[in-house]
Amino acid sequence: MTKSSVVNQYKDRLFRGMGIVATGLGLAVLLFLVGTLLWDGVQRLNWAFLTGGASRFAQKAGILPALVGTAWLMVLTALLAIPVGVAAGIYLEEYGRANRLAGFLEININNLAGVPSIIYGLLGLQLFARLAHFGASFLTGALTLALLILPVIIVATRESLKTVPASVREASYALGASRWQTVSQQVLPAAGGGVLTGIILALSRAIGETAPLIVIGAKVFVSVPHSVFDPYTVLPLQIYNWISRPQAAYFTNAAAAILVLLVITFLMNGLAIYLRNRWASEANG
Amino acid sequence: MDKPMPDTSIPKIDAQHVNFFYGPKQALADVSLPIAANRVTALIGPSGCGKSTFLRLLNRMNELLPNTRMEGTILLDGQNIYAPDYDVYELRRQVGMVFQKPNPFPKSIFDNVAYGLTINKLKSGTALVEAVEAALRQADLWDEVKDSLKNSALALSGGQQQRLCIARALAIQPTVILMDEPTSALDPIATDVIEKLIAELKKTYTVVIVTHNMQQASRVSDTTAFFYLGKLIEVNTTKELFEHPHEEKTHSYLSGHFG
Repeated sequence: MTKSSVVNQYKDRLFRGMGIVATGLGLAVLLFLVGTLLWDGVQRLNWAFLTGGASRFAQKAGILPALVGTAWLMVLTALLAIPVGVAAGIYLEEYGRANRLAGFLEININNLAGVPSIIYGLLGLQLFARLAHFGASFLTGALTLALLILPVIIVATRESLKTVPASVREASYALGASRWQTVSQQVLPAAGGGVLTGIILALSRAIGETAPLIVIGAKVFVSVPHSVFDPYTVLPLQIYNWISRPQAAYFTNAAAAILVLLVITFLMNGLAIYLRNRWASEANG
Repeated sequence: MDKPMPDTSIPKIDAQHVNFFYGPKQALADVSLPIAANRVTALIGPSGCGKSTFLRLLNRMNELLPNTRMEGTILLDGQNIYAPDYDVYELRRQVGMVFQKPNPFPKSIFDNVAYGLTINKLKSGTALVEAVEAALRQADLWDEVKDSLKNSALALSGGQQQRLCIARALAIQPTVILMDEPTSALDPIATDVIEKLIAELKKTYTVVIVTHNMQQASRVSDTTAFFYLGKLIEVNTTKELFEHPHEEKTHSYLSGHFG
């Protein structure tokens, strides 16, 4: 064996080792987090906790308003953000390609995806809560979160559309298809798995957002909401509120609520993976 | 190969003084080429000579690319397909295309063939099923896929995929089939199947084929046009062009001096 190949082998092993350490570190942190949460919170996880409302007594307090609030907020946010985000992604990728406006928009959308969420909170406060007079309602919250995840959905949509080879588009056009037929019947279905994954990951980002919701006035002590104009609370806010209290019992509540939030997030990510795989296997037979 | 017959009829396609530009770069210069109906016309020449560009002008595929410009006239059945009021979608229904690399849609075999029919609202229901079968039979693929129409097209072999692409093009009953190096990604056996198919197709369709492979041109085509550096150098019956090229450049290309 030559000297250089020995060196290469050594480098290869070193890199593998580093990779294993890095992966292990990430996993260890996650395991530690979940472990301590389980240790602290699992005792509070029962039906009463899931279906209970706000209470002055930590042992009686439950997360139902927050759970329902989170579910509502996600549905509303999704309804607002998905059509606009996917449509904008399609426009930028399939229609607005060559012009300067599209280039300008592209840079700005990528920038928007990196803006701290609290800035969106301030925007939502001024735009929806004050100017549109929606106040501290669900609608304000959903509109704000929709704005927050819009760039993420747009970028994900574009990236998935980009993975569809030009040959698919050409084949469709060559059969006399219009641009819209090509996009809606060939390109979008072929990119669908990626688009869906992007949407779900964007939503699971939104589900954990706290800062912008505090800014736009989400409450903590509320009952289960009945309309989009009602005040509301969500799980991250409930957790934040409990953690900031001095009593140890509330800390247990917070740990239990975090577990619930984690389960929801994991389920959503799992759904994303499932949908992507199913989509891929449908296309590949 | 059929004996070349003197063609006194109006050509199916007639390109007149065609120039084409990719941005500032001229890809075709003053190309005039009549293409006879129910014949196979081969376009040959070295890479970058403009033969594929010319082919893609015949169904206006080039206009999907940004920064391109076309000058001149191309008549299909006597009508200028570049006239502003000419319906490009109708043109592409008339002039089908098969690409260099098999490019089936990531869908089922059935859906691949049915797509052109459904988007153009040509067929539905049992008529659609029958049309799909007819197209697959025409492309000599039916026996291999009749039991797996619901399976993904991507699971087929390369040669089968290319025949599926031919079936897809035939399903909407065009009158012209354009083929852009249809066998360059295929093995010799699959190539042979496609070449036999081309001989069958010219009974019904006008076929224009771009090929890198000169043996292929001589095997499948009736007429051959030789392109070089964006110009049409020579066009003649395939037999005549291969045996007695008139132009010096044609001669040296055919004898392997460049390309």
